[in-house]
Formats: sequence, structure tokens, C-alpha cells
Amino acid sequence: MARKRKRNRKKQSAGYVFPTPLAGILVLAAVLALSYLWLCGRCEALGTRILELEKTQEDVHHRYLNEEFKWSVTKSRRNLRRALARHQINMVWPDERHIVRLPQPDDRLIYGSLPVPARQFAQHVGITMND
Amino acid sequence: MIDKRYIVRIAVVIAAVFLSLAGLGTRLAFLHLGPNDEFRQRVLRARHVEKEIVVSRGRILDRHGNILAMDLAVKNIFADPKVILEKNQVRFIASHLSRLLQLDPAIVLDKVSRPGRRFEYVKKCVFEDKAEEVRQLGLPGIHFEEASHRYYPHNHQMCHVVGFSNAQRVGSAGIEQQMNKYLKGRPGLRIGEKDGRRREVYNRRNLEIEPQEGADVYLTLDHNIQGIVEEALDSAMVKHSAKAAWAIVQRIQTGEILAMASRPAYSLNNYGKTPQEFMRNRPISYVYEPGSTFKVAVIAAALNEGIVHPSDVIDCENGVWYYKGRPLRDFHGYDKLSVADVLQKSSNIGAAKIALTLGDQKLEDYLRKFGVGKQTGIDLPGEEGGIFHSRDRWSAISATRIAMGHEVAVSALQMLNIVCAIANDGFLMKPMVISKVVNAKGMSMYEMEPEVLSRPISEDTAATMRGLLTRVTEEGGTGRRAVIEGYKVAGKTGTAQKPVAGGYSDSANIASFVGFLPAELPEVGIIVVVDEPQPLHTGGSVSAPVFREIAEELVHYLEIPPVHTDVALSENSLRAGNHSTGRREL
Repeated sequence: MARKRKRNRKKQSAGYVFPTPLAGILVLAAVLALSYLWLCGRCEALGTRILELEKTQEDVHHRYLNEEFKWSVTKSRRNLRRALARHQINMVWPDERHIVRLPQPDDRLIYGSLPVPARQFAQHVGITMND
Repeated sequence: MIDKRYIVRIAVVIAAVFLSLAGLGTRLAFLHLGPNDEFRQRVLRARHVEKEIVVSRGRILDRHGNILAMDLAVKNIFADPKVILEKNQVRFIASHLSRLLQLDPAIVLDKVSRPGRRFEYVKKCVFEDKAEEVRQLGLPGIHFEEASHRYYPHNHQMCHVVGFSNAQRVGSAGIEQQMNKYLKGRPGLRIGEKDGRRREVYNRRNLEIEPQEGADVYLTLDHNIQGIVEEALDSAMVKHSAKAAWAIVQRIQTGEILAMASRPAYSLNNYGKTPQEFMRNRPISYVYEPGSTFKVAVIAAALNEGIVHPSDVIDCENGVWYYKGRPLRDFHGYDKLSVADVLQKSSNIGAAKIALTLGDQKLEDYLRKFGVGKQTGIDLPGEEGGIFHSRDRWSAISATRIAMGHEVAVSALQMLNIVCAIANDGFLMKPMVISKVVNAKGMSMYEMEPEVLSRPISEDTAATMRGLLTRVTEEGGTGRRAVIEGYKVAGKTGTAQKPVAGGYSDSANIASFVGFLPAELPEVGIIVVVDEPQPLHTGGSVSAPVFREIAEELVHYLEIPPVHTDVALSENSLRAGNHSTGRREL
């Protein structure tokens, strides 16, 4: 039968035991401090990133405007004419005989009969007739 | 055993370190706890950053959204000659820059080799892609500066309407000036702090006022129609060796201006080198004696009053008529002409007699209702109201001269508006060039609605006048060259001698043609004015063909169908005949 080990009651621990609650508080404070540091660093990084993106957005906007400008210049009447001439394309309007006009239900003209009076804008705005 | 000397040395070192730390500590404590406002302010000033957020000026677009004016981000390229000289790369850099930026090599060489200078602009307003090409070369001492510049993609086109903004970004002509308050926007403001490397710290931004981008202004003009008109004017300028020429295209029912062109023109991207005279928007700012085109207003007034009827006969005195001792002549002499023929043949004597029959008071009243002597109110700067004296300043023969378009001065826009009122059942519309203003978020800030200025004549009179004006472009009329195949054109020619000191010039004329089409159901009105054409000088031979050139393309572009019936006009003629109680002789 194994002998039961007896605790030596006379033997007292001489060292200081750090209080657990205080340790907890300190650890918590350290965690908070580290979290704060991490968040601070993160905010700074995000701030830098936002600044970069702001710059990128500005650059992209500038590029967009530049492209818009180039496109406007390219499709200007003068440039289109030059392009047509370069490719020896002679554009002419079709002769009236070659145009087929399809009357729409709300067309002002009823073909082959009397013209229907045009919508007179001025009569819809309630002006004083002085004639 | 340690030597006593060492002990002393160690003590001295410790004391020195201690004293230093104590001194630093004291200074630190003093800085933090003492009166440190001045230092604090100095630090804050050094870290403070206040930046104005520049906004782009709004764009100007035509009715289809084609860009006519816009701000572009560009680069100013500058050199640091000191660095370039130190690196001994003056020639290398000068040759590359002059090649890429298309500059004179000698000028670039001079700029980059100025000893003692740290900053020299090489070229301003360089497009980003070109600047990028320069950057790729990695030239030492060459730097880039962000800038914004106003550009006009179509250069000369619509120059007088669009106008330009100056170097301070203030609109100085045309729409740029008129709509400056919408176009300029409102700059923003950013206040914050920067770090040691002079970079802004995002989370130290204290204040940010959002900028308000300039609003976009949409015009009623169509850049294709404008192109058609400008090309026609350019060829007329060459063909007739004219001093100037101008034209307007207006939508009849709404008063929208579809094109407004003036020659000579200038480049909007290089306005600084343009003579002032070239910048003049003649269609609205040049007033001239309209000549025979003005007969339209006088005869319309007389018809509206019922004083004359189209079939009434007027004795045209075979070409010379003395009234109050002063002669009045016709270009071609006629014996007797009906009122309809007076307009068709453009008889001065006939028009003068009609004006006298109408009477001074009514003549003045009608012309004022037609807007003569008053600005139309178009949204463009520099509009002239013309010259039209009140009746108390008229002489005994004024009515006879006003009837043929003398003693009165109008702008082309006023003249066109009168004719468009006739085409529009008598309603005089306010001409407009601005369609709407849209802010950067796409919301409409301002939208133009057609506006009626007055109604000088009745619908019946307008219909009769349309019929009479159509005769002008038919066989026997002065405006035959304005006719386009398949369409009926209504219009009136005008040839006015230019006033010179003491009378009228024998050689300098203003030739004009104003009309609308299709005559039966008018869609667009056009006026063409040519200043001092040579050798031909009449409205019928100079301006009417330009009108036709414009109208021919316009009917295709706007898909205006020809009206395959004469009913409308013949009805008008009938109506005009019914009003008459027979052929009267005035």
C-alpha cells in the first residue's frame, strides 16, 4: 500500500504571489494598449490608403476627361471630313426620290391629303393676344 | 584595487550624464508645463496644411451632348537648370525636350542652361500622355506641376457663341461669360496636418468643405448644323471676297437657335492672339440697315390692319417717285404692281406708299411689336437692340425710308425673328441658345422654356404673308436662287447700301436673305448676311445661294419632309383674295 505523502505544514512559501485580479487588469490594460496601438496603426494605414485612392480617383478622372476630349476632337466635323477624304469616301445625301418615308401615326402630315396644322407651341402658353 | 583616478573619471562621466539628463528633463518639463504657447503655435504652424480644392469649370455642350468646352488636367513642365548643369546634360535634355514637346531647340537650350536658376518653365499646359512620355525618359532636373486648362475641342467652331474663359478662369465672352456663375463652380477647402515628410495625414483632417463642381451648360445649337452653316459662310467669304458674313438658323416654333455663325472667326484655344474685331458676334452685335428684307414687316403690318390687300394695285411711278421733294428710286422701274408683286419685285416705291397708307403711328407701333429697336433678350452677352427712333424724331419722309429698310438698324437676329414670327402664325418668340444647365450630380438646375414676346400679326395675316413670301422665290421674284428642289421656300432678299459720312456708299453693300422652309409648314428660319461682297452685291445673287446651300443640307439632316401639296399656300392666296373687295388702286 502506498504511503500517503504528508504535506509539510512547516514549509511555507517565502516568495510574493502576484495577485491574480491585478494581473488580469494589467493584462487587460496591455491588451487594450496593444489594441489601441494596432487600431492607431491600422487607421493610419487606412488613412494613407484613402489618400492614395483619392489620388488614384483624381488621376482616373483626369484620364477620363482626357479621353473624352480626344474623342470629341476625333469626331469633330472637320476631322471626320478629313478621315473620309483620306479614305476617298464621298458621302452625299440621298436624293429625295431614293428616300422612303414611313408615316408615323402622330406625323403632322397625312400624306396625300391636307396637312394637319402643326402643334403651335405659342398657343399652349397662354399669352395675351394683341392682334 | 581600483585606481583613484578612474574613480574620479567615472564620477565625472556619471555627473556629466546626470547633469545632461537633468538639463533635458528640466527643459522638457519647462516646455510642457511652462508658458509654451509660442512653441506650440510654431509647431502647429509647421504641421498645419490648408489646401483649396480646385474645381473644374463646367462643360459647354451642344444639344446632342457634344462637348464644346471643357477643363482638362494638364502638366506644366519645368526645369532645374542648376541640376542639369551639374550633371552636364544640357544638350541631351534640350534635344529630347524640344523633340517631344515640339519646341524650338535653341529656346529650350537657353532655358535649361541658365546658371544659378533653380526654376524655369519649359512648357505649360502639356497633355498628360505627352508629359508621361517625357517622364519615361527620366531626365534629371526636369519636374512636373499639376495644372488645369480650358480647352475647346472644336477650336474655331461656334467660337462666337461659346466664347472663352481667361487665364483667371473667368468667362470673358459668349456663353462662358453669360453663364459664368453656373460654370465656375465653388472651390472646396481642406484643413489638416502634415507629417514630417510634408504628406497630409488623413486622420488629422480637421475640416473639409466639399467643392461644388461647375455645372454643365447645354446649348440649343447643333454642332452639325453649325458646321454646315460655317462651311457655307467660309465658301461665301472666298467666293465673294466679302469683308464679313454671318448667319443664323432658328427653329420656328420655339425660337431655339440651331446655329449661329460669324466670319471672320478665331481659334478659342488661341484667343489671346486674336484681333478684337474677329471676336465680334455679328449676328447679335452688328446692327445694319436691313434694306428690302424690312419690307416684310411693313407689308405684314399693313395687311394686318386691313389697309391693303395682296391684290391691291400700287402705282410704282416707273422707278422714280418724288415725295416731299426727295426722289425715291426702284432698282428696276415698274408701272403698276399689286401689293403681292411689290414684295416679290421688292419695289421701294410700292413699300413706301404702303407705309404712308399705314400711317406713322401704326407703323411705329407694329415695328415695336415686331421687336425693332429692342434687344430680343437672347442669353448671350453683347446683344445690340438696333436703332429705331421714336416717331417724334422722324422727318416727313421717314416712313418712306423705313419701309425700304433705311433709317432703321437691326441685328440679323432681330430680322430673323420678325420673319420667324410670320412663319409662326404671328407669334414672336424669344430666341434662345441655352437649353438647360445640369449640375455635376446630373440634376437640372435651370431649364429654358420657349417664351412668346408678342404677337404683332394675326394667324390669317401670317398665312397670307407666307404665301406672299413664297412668291419671292418663284419665277419673277428676287430670291429664285434660294429655292431647293422639292421644297417651297419663303423669304426675302435685301441689298442695303452701307451708310458713309454724308450719305450712302455706292460700292459697299450688305447683301442679305432671310427666309424659312417648308413654306407650307415652316420648321426652320435662316438668315444669311454678307458684308461688302464683290463683285456681285445683291441679296438675291450673293446671300440667297448661301441660304440654299445651308437649307439643302438642313432638310436632309433634320429630316424635314417636303410638303407634297400646294393646298396650304393656294388656300392662303385664296383667303388673301377673299379679303380683298376687288383690285383697288392706291
